[in-house]
Amino acid sequence: MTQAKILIVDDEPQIRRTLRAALVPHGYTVSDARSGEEALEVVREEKPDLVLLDLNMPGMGGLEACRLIRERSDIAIIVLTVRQAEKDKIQLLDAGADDYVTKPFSMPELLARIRAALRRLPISPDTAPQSLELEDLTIDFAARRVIARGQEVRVTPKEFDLLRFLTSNANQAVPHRKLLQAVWGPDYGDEVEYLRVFINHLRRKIEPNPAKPKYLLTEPWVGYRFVIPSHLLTKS
Amino acid sequence: MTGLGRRAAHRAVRVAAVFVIVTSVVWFYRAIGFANTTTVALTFVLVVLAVATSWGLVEAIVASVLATFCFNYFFLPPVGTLTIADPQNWIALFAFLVVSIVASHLSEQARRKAREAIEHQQETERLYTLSRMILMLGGSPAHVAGEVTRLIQQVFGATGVALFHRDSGEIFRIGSKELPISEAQLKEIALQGSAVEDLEKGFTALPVSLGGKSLGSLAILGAALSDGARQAVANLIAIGLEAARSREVTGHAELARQREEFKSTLLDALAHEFKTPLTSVKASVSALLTDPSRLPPTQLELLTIIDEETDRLNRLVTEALLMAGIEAGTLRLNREICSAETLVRRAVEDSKRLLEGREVEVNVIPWLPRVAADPELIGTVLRHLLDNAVKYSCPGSPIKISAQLEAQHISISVTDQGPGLSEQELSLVFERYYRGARTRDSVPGMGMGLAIAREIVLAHSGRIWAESFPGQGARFSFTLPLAEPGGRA
Repeated sequence: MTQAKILIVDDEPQIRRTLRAALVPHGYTVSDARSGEEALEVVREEKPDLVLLDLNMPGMGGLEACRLIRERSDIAIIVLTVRQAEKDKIQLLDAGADDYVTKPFSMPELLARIRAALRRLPISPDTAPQSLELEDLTIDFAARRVIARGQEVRVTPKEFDLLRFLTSNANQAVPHRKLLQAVWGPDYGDEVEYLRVFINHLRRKIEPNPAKPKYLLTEPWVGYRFVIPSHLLTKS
Repeated sequence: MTGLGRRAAHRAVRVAAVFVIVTSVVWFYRAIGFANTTTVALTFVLVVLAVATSWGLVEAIVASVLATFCFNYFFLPPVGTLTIADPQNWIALFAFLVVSIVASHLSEQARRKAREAIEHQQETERLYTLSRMILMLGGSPAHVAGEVTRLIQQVFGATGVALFHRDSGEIFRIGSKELPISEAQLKEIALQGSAVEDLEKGFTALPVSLGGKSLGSLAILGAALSDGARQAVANLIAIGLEAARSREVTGHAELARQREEFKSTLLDALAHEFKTPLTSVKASVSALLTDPSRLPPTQLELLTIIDEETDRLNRLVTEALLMAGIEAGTLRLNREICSAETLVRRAVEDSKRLLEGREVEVNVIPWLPRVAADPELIGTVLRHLLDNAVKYSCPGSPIKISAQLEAQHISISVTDQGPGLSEQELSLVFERYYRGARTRDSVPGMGMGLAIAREIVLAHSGRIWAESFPGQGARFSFTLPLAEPGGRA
């Protein structure tokens, strides 16, 4: 994990400098870009494992760069933003970001996010189901594809891992902490609101009526539950 | 008078011409000598018909009488006398007269209709020209009113035009100042909605209104306008004025929107400018503090101070920008349906560091009816109230948060057991920059937290207030409206 390549994208030289100075001691290989356009080039050439993307940049801008990077690859993207409003967070997740961090942030917080973003749930070929076919939702675990109501839905790596963990524990209430730690890693556990944003975002993608979910249910004060009708459970 | 005189002169000439024609016919047939009476009679009929269609009834009757006389005298036996031997010849005379009357009447009617049609067409063309010109007018309603007055005079060739524009209260005039109507009368017409006409003087005044709303009144002197045309002109003016007013309103709204957008962009830019260096500083110092155990005590202490003050600076910037946003009017509420319990829980969570070491008691029933609120902003309100409670009470004392359902809203309270507030302070405490008298020097802060909280609560149509007894602590409460039934869960 510590040999991971990180690309820092920010038009502010001091921020690039600070992040580089803070990340290198933790074993990461760091490259940087000054703009969205440059970022796309570096992603194409160097294929980093994770991108730290500032939103507020002239020219292409962070949001557009995020979309374009996400279109072409599954690499982890963490967006650095000044805004805190939730609707802006949803917009970031919609654009394909795995996570967002509000400026100014503390380095330990950012490092935890980086670790979480680089983490992927391991696929155990024997126990996990290969695909799940529900009424208007199909999840192909092997190909990492989700099809909702006949249309392919783009899910970020974190969202996919969320789905996989919940469906592996189908019909059980999975506590927040367990879910956070499985998908985001040991640094996480208490960020209930943080998890809520991701679940809501996922609902908007897979649920026919996000306001009245039928697959991803909330277990009040406990966690979340993925509902699979019992007659489908024996399917593999 | 000269018009009538001219007409009389023309008539006299025509009558004379009739004489000439009839006598020519008589002379012609006498000269030939072998025409029979039928031929002569029919010729006279043709003459009378020709005169009736070309000229007026008067000339035709003159022609008929003259033709009868000549026919009788020169052609009907006994020739040379005015008696009619054969009673059938009376019929001839009668026929002449009837032909002349009917023919001249019909042709007069036809001529009149043709004249009217041309006049009508000209009027319509003028109205069309006027409407095109009015539609091309730009500018304020008052400007349009002035221009319209000029256009009416120009298009209809009026001697004088006056337009009373109700909204601006101005009267626009052009042409002769001798309009036979006073300003007060003109205004009265606008109010009463009744028209005034003086055909003799060629003057008319009528109200200008659109959709039942009176916009003013119009007076015209010296332009011949039919009833329909007059009303059409008044309507065109009304439409023109309304269009100008509508443009003005839209223009103002557009300007206001642009101003707000500009302010919003400016504030966003400021936020970025301030937060950028803070980002580098915070990232750097937090990185240095990652492993406190490995730092020499002095460095640890100094770095900790930098870290804490950076946080403080960040809070100040955030608060200042929020206040600026509120003052600029660019604050936008993103209302959602939320539960009081969630809002409180989040605020407590976000203030974890602030509340460290303090006993916090949360008394919020999770199944209270939901409220319509912007979660981020209410979170800010709660954080400020908690901040306040922590600042003004001793480290050992507990802080309580509770929520209860009232008639139309939920009220949330934060209670501390600090020194409390005096009655005077209770009302002042929400003012900007107000700092408690006793604590001003010992407690840090700008005094904006509660002012911001109040603005946010007011924007939600809620109330915020403080209760306290000196020495017994303080309770700050605010209300949030219940969410509409049927809202999203």
